[in-house]
Amino acid sequence: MNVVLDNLFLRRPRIEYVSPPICEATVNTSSSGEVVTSSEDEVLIDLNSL
Amino acid sequence: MQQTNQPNSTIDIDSTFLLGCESDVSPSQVALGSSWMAINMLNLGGLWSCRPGYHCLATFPDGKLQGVARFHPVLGEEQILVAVAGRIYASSFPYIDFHVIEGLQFSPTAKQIFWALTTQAATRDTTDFASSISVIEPKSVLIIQDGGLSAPGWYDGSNSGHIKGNLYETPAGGPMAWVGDRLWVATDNQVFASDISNPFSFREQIYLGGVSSFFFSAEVTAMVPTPSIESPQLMVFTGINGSILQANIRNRDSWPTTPNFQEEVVQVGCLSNRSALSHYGQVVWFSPSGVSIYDPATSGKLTSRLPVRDNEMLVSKVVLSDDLSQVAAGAFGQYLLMSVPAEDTHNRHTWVLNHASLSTLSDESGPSWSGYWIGTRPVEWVSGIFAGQERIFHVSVDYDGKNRLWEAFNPNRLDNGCPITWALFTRGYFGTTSQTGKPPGFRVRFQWADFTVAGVEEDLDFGVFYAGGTSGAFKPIANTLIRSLRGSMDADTEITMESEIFAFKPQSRTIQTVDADQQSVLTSDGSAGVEREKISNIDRAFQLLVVGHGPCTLREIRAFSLPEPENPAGNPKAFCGESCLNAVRYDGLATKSNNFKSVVDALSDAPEAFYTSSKTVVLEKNGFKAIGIGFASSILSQAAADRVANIVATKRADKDLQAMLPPVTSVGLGLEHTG
Repeated sequence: MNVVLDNLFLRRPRIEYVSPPICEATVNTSSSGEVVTSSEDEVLIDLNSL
Repeated sequence: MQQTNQPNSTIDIDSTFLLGCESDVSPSQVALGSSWMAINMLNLGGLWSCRPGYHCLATFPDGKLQGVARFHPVLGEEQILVAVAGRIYASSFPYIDFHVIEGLQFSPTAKQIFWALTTQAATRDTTDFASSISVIEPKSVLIIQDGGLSAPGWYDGSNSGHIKGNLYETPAGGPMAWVGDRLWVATDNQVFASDISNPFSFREQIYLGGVSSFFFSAEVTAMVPTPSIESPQLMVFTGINGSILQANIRNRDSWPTTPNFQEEVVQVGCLSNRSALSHYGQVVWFSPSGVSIYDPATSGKLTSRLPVRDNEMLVSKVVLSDDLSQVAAGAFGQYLLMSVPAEDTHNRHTWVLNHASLSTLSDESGPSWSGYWIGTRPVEWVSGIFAGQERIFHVSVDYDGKNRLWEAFNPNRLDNGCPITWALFTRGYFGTTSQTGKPPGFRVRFQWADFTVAGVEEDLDFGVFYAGGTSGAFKPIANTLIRSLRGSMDADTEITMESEIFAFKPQSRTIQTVDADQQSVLTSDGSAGVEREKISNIDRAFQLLVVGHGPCTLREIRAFSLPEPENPAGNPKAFCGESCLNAVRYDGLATKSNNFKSVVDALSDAPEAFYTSSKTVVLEKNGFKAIGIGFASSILSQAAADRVANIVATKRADKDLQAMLPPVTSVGLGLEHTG
């Protein structure tokens, strides 16, 4: 962020609030995946050679 | 006893708040019709209201929360996709039954997932470069990337997979957009365009100047279609500038000969792909300097002066984190939301811009800031038509570290049925912009204020504080509980088929504060003798802080004061320095002493107007028992914090009890056909 000056520095009362997380559902998973290797380099090399 | 203002009392009044917030100036200089700042409020029709509610739909497994997207099939209902730790979860309406999309796995540590909803109407018959093309029935395909760490993924509503093993298919990258029936993919400082109507094929090689992609001066950080009247074009951002690609031109052969096909139009960059969107005919994004708005229709694709549009949000802007790469924007109707990392490395504040604060018919009312919202920490927003209705959702890394999906703009103005804490910092009454006949700059003696409120749908904690325009802490002058029943149902009343069930009308009140001039301890904030000479309720202007827990609309504020004579003499101490050690706490509480330790002790030991409460509620029915725990905080009173915490605990226990109880099936008694 660029420098932003607060010239006034007024008092800041402590107003805090958290939305109560009363959820409809909880998502569970037992399945696992495998990271797929990127083919980015291959594509770029080929395109540049055309 | 009825209070009456003395004959020489002056009044200042706000009966409309259509200009929103303005926290970059002194409260005494905030314009009529404006307020200094609002928290968890919405400025609509010149009224300040508690914000619409959030509704929590699902809690996701722990891990890096990487984004949310909407998948809209050509036929069928919309789905929501959520990315956590490299896995993609999908659900149809009502978006509570999520399952993992098998066959898709991205990097669990990727900073974010990029999405682009495309329409595929052509396919290649073989994998070689010269493959023939077949036209297919158009179908929606969501292309998914993690910034180049993994191979691109795709999802068409039922099938999914990664794009790999073919040199002419979608390159791995980051920001993407579907414009002009082509998929545009950014990788570092390059942008690639797919073949027409096929987001999987990148065989066509016509770009500009004989190179193999569009090149930009720095890494591409964001791409967004422009709301052009001619046809959507593509705005491409780096961290330092923004360019237009005339992506609407379908005929690729004409790209090299089209004047200014690629043109830099603004020297203002964008740091977050999620912050850029089209809203109300304009492109909006978060630049290194703040919110920027670009109107491609009026700019004529010329480089234009682009001032930031968010200095009104200064009170939040000055506490932004240095890392702005995850700022997230959303749009819902006339409202623009910008979630920013204020007071946090997560997006704790969501700035709210109302693009039509008063009149929509004549389209004459300009935009106004509605302050900022707190409650969740949005990572990404997604909006559009879901199940036939305009809705907006966000995923959030909540304060307990859990990843959740929330729906916003619930009109009941409750978060999961619980009261929302809201606050309004008013302009400085009796200041230079006041409606009184007081000579500008003259001091007044603040008396009291009254507030016309409406839309009180249920019990409401309502408190008011005042503070001098130049110094001092906020001092309480009202703290009350408004009792308002919602409707004809309660937990103890049996409901039968003959029962008449109806809601009560939301209520109105005029709430008056005590007379500050009659309060016994006027110097309790310590500011007299430190930051001011006079007692607390004598100043050139007075700012009010209104705080509530519960649904409410503010219609009008009136403030009363007495004229205070000015001292016609000069200051005999004008050449004397201050001798004491002076210190002021964050909330305006002040003290002075000749001893440093005394000063520090006085401020650290002084009580804070901050009350917390933790409540436990046990609900029991038909032998099933559920326990709920609720937490709340308030600056009003311990009783207010207790009331809200009790409601939260009850709602939690009720939700658990509902899940445990066996379903009740009506046997239809009372519904027999009698005709």
